[in-house]
Amino acid sequence: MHRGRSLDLVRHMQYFLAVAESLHFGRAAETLGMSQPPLSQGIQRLEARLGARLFDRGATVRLTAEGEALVPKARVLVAAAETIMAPDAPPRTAVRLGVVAQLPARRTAQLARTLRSFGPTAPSVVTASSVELVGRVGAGQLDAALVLHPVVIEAVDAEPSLVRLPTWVVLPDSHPRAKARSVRLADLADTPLATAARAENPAAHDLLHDIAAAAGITVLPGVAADDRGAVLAAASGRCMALTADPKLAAPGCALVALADDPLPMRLRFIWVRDPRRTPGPDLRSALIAAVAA
Amino acid sequence: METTAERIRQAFADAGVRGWLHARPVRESGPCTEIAVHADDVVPLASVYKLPLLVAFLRAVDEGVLDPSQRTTVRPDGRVGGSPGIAMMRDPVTISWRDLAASMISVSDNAAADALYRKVGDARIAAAMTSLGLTDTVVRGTASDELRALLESTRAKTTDAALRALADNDHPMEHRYSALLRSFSTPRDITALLSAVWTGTAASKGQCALARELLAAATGPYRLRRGFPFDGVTVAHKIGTFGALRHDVGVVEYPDDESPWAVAVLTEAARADRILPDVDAVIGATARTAVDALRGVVRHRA
Repeated sequence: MHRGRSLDLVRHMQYFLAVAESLHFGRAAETLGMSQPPLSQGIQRLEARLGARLFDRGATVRLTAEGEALVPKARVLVAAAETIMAPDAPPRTAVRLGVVAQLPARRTAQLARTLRSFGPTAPSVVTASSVELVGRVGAGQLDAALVLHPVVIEAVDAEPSLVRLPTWVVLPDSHPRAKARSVRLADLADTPLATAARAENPAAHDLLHDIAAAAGITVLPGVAADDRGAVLAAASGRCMALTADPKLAAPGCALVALADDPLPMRLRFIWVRDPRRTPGPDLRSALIAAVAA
Repeated sequence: METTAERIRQAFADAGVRGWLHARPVRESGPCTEIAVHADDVVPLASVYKLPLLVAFLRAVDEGVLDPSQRTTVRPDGRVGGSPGIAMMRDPVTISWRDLAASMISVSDNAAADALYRKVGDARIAAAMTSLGLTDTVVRGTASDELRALLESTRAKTTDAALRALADNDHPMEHRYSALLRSFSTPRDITALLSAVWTGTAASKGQCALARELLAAATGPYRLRRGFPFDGVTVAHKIGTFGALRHDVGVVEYPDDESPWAVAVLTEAARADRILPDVDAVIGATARTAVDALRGVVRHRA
């Protein structure tokens, strides 16, 4: 049987990724160090081989649905090729992960443990605000981060689905509802709610503020940035706070469930766009599972 | 000291949105007379596509291909609503092409836009954009097409249910926008298009005057207008809204200025909620910051 000339798949995946990332044939050609006509031909050859259009070429270039689906696979292939061609290269430096301070300690530890199982080098995990983490992943200073949703997302790939954790309210143990199993938000209208500073994530703060305001609750921003702050705020007797850790306990505090989960913690993974550093699909799934467990 | 662009970027971040902005005097443009924040990024237009569609319609009238006072009957079949005007009517409507254009611009009437789009055709829109040098502007479908794609994507039974799915903070959908949406442009192309309408070069002088009239009478959520709450200042504009996307583009005229000011502000909110007054407000605030800076520069030069 006569077979056509075999396609250098790795090279064509590199062409494809360069165009997919810049959405501009001219800029992609520059990045690849080649001229535009052979790049265009290479993409056409690839499309003919795959039997699918990968880009819509109009006044602007856009990825088709097939193109979008190909991006993660192309990244895996190119990354794998690099390890084959440079087996003596120093082991890839460990994944640099960022997390928000509100993530319960147990889940942060699970993430670090997952990273350790994926590579010989100890992973680095830093804590910063959602806005700060988006900036650092976008700048390539981190490879991935777990941020609070909603947050303004730019220059990074965002995981399509969220991890949603229920929250409990941390009340002063002198509070009238401190002994209740569960309480409605509306029943807490007289107690101010301590939260993180607004600048850490204006969008998430405003969403929480709107829901609290509808229930008649005043928000105190900048008072409780994490579980430690939540416990201090409640133990001081003057306000309440939220936590996603059902085991959070301290003198002077009582944990009560919130009926209907009106203020859940929505977490979203963001990944660096650089194909050389971005976590592969296996690691991504493992990290998501580690947080959601 | 911060630049104007930095202040505008800060304002967008504070309002919880990604923002794109371009502002320039209608009569000239250049690095010294423009304010640009991501002005060359390609962004989905939502209903702002009705502006290129309007210009293509007016040029078709100039060419004699279309008689603007000729009446046509717009049937209710296949309507997906999504706007006031004919889109919310239940029975067939007989109306002239230019009145369809008026409804399309003044209340962002999706059904009026559909009828005009079918008549004018996307080839004519593409030709108009090319002829005006707007190489980053693409119109390949209407708001109704986008709503239909959304209905299919969310498997919703009604437009309202689909829009509610879009407004769910538990299920972000921004990554699906580029597959659902049909029309795109950049802030810089939009202000160039508006400037061409204001200087009478987008179509004949008479048709450009009609366009300016229609845009000056446009209603819709107060976005740009909020930045210029002065009786003597006119704001002609076209809004666009789709899920997290909230846009307003238009021309602001101060009574004694040498030139009107073309401004395009496009935003994408991090929150999925349908009602976000702070986003409407930041569109006006950033437009005002930009125009104030431009007026300062130009006044000092004179």
